[in-house]
Amino acid sequence: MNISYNWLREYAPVKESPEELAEILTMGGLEVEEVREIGSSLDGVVVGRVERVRPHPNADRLACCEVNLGGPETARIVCGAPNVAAGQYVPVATPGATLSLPDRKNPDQRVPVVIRETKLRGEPSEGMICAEDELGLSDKHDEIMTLTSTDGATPRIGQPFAEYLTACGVAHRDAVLDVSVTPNRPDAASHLGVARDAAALTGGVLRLPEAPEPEPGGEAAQLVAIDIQAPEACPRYVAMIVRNVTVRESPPWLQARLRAIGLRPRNNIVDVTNYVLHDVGQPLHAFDFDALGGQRIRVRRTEAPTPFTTLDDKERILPPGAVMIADAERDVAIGGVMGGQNSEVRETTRNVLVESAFFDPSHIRRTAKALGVQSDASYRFERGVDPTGQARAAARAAALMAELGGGTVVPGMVDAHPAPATPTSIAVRATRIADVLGVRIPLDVSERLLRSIGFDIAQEGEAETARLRCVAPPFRPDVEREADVIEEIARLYGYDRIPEPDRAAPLSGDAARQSPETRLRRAARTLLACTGHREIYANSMLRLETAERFARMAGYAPEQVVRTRNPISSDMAALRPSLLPGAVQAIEFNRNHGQRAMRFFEFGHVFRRTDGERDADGGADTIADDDAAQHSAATENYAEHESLLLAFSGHAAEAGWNTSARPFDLFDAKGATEMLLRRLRAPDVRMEPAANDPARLDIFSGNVPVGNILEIAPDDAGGSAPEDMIYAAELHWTRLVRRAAAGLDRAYRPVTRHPSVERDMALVVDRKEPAGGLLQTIRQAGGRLLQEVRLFDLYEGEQVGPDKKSAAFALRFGANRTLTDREVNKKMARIVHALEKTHGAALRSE
Amino acid sequence: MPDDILKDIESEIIDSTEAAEAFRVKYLGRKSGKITGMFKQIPEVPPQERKALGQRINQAKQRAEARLAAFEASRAPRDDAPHAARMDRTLPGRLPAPPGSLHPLTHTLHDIAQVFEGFGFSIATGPEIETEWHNFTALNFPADHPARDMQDTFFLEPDRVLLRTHTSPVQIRALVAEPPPVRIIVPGRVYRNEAVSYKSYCLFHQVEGLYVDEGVSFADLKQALRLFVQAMFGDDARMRFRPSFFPFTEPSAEVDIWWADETLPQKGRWLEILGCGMVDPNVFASVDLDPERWTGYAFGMGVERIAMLRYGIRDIRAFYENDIRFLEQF
Repeated sequence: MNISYNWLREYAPVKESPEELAEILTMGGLEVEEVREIGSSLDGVVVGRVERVRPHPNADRLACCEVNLGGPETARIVCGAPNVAAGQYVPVATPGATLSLPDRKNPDQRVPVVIRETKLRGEPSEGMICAEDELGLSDKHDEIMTLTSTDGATPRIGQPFAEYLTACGVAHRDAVLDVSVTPNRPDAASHLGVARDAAALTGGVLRLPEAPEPEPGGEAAQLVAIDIQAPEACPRYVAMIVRNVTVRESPPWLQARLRAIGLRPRNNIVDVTNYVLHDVGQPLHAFDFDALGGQRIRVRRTEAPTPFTTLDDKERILPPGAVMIADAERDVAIGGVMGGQNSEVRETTRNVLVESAFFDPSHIRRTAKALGVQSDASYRFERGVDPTGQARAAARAAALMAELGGGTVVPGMVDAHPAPATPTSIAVRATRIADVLGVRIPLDVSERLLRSIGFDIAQEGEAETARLRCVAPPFRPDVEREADVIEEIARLYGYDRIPEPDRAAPLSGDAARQSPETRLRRAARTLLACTGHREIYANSMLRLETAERFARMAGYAPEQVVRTRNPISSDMAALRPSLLPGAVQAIEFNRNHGQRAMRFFEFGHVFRRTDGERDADGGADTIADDDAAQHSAATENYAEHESLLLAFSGHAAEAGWNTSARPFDLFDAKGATEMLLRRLRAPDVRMEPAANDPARLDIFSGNVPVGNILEIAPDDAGGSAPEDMIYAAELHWTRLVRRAAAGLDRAYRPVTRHPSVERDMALVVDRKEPAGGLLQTIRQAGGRLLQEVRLFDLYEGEQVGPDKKSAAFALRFGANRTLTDREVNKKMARIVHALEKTHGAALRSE
Repeated sequence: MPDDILKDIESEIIDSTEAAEAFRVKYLGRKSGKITGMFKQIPEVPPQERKALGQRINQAKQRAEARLAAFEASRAPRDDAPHAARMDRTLPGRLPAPPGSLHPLTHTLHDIAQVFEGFGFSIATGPEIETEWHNFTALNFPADHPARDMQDTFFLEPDRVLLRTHTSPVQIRALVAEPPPVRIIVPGRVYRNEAVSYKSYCLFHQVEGLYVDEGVSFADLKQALRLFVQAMFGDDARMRFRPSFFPFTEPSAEVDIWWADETLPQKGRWLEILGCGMVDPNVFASVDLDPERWTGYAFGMGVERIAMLRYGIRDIRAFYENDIRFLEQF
């Protein structure tokens, strides 16, 4: 929100510079994001008197003027304004002055121009007589500005123009503070409100604007009746009437005020409503009184969707329940949001009704949200305006309108105030202040701080029971509880003045007992990064069709994809059912950027709809608290778990001086997964080809499925080069950790002192016999004595005959004693027997 | 004569390539080698002695060659001598594995966690699909309040189920799950329905902190965060606590650090790095804890923001593009 430094200083006697003030406000809770200097210095612009005017010999529209600037000779100035005449006092930019002139192509921009002596169509010109827009005072360009002795200012020949302006109450330079107002500070959405904090934080005394309030009733009450039909949405409605005004441009001081804070001046009536809004924070609306039918204002709520044309000429459909302002027959404004086209103030308007109401914040918020409109008015009503400020603001606006429009204020006002609020008092204990803040602030200090921002305070009690009885000012609806008052004390006292405690917080060993998830995740990350994998972070949101495709791959139904109701775009309409799509995208991206070896991993959450089906893992944690349990049920139709993905594509190895290039294949994905699972010590791991999908291996720990390995061909037609294939392993991390957690705290097993026995065996089996089965049989038959088995050779060819292959295994036996040859021979025989029986294997003859 | 030379051959010291070459030239050199010279002298001796002389010279020659071979063998004991002599030791080494990397957000998150783990905080996590109650209501965001506008939300079911907008709902989960004292940090992914640009993404990562116990005060919060800032940004880091607003803390503050920048007139600027405050009594009330007995502080920071500061990354989207040329730098 833009706050004008000059404007603020009308209320707070601030001596600090705009930058210093910005720092003070920021440290007091009103963050100033930016300070902008505006206006030009007007150095070199002086008051002159036009002594003589003669037509320009070579141009019909120009005139040659002699202007008295107080020097020994008059200045010769060529002027093109139609209104220039002898005897006028005018602002003159003398040679050397820099003006910030409007850019004709882009009227909102200004460009600095240095005034020089020149010749215009052959006549010398020693300066420029200025129009208001050339001085940055208004948009008025069609005539030069003439200076009169009004407003207590008298123009003098040779006087710096800035001095004259100041005497008129117009500031030519200002600074604008862009204040970021937090939702709890509705009071700070006005110059008066920010000035209140500024005064409190700099030790000054706030000057309140003079605003004599009229008594309710009077002539105004005879001219219009207010009927609040929805008091819950509109607890108060004040109306005043101004008669016989002329709608015209606002005077320079008012235009300058509005322009400084980024508003475009419209006319004197509308400008006054905006001015008062930004001055004291009370939104106002001005109706053309003669456009209101039946001398009656009704405040009602819509029952059905209602079309209405607002004053920006847009037709909007109001939802049921919106607050509408109506006259006797029709709607004339959306309460608290925006006025209507049918009753807005126009040039022909003579009589004005000023609305100054209090609307309920949540009603206004719902309407503004539904309409997608945020106006200066709705912004303030949503946050809560001062419920006692309506009459003051209306009176101030009416008086200004009468003054600037040459009209009169109709005596009296209508104050429909069906539910006056009663201020509540809050007890703030000295002990509680100390407990929360950790510093003992004397109650007198707290009292002084709170008083400086408008609180009523009384001290009660002694010593341990000492406390402040506080009544928050009506413009602070956010202050309701002891904690709210303590926050006010703290921010005014200064966070930086709160000392750190002498003692440190008590020690805790909790951090050393990290969850298995955390411990194993860290171990896995380190292992993978150290073995050549690069960690990626992919978007969790993706296109629905993509999500459905990957859901099928992961073994879910496409309907189980979770969607967001309000996606940013269709590219991000669904939540990832697996980490694979992100890795596939990263692989494609990098391939397109010339990378040839992609070895990625990612940890992340994946999502699916379950719609009542219980998760095999027991679903959500049991929650004792009733509220929390009840609300947790809302997510029972969704499941999410942490997943770990490994993905490989391109070259596993580049050609080197002692290595040859090779593309990744399935066994890279499998090997990396095996390495990881061994590191995690997941028990009893097997990987089995999926029955229904030749491109998938399922991974189990015991009987628990913990993941799968997929091959993905980017070209569905089968034309993919080996380098373009993607091999990926995705692990259900949450489940896997549960399986592996037991291994984290296992006991040490003493190393045996007895030597192990190594034996090799070569088998001939059918060519189609999978190696996995052979290994499994060997392990089973080998029992506990078999410590390790390794497949070290595979051979197909002449020496073993057609449709056969030879597989050679190295076996190591051991126990906590010395094994005899006989024992090992017996074991080997048993293994061979099992292999013969189960796989039709035969020992290969040497 | 060959007998003398045999003694000479045995007494030579060959301890370097240069010595070996000198030895070769001295005895076997084609022009002036001693043994070569002796072969040339054979025709000058009587014919009946030539055979025996030739055998003795050959013996010396073999002996000299054996010494050279022994030297080469000692240099490359496992290789055959002639090959070893040609080995190029400037060839690049063999890597145990290609280079891998951790994501910069992981590094940053880990560094943040490590500081707080040192303070005795343990790590807690929670779901990314959250209830409206955990994400907003229990955290004292009233319905129809502008505070909810601070966090644009993705809904799965209107007003009921959403993607968490912050990691703060884990505060609620933690306080429901076990009674205080609770001292946790919560790293995690959060979602905001904002247009994607160089400075905002539809998701980012936060680290939330919560410490609830008897007698925890704002002064304790200041101490913990001052120590954190010094650990992350150096002992001479300048910081300030600035009053702010969050529905679930009161008083609330934002922490800024001074970021030196010589190109600015003030030679630097204040950058916001985290939000914090004392747990609001309404939060305790929503999890049935007595706010008179328990007090606590909470804080939260954006991991991306801190990573961008540390590494000088200007565009937040770089974190999710996964360009290897970016990843390999961390």
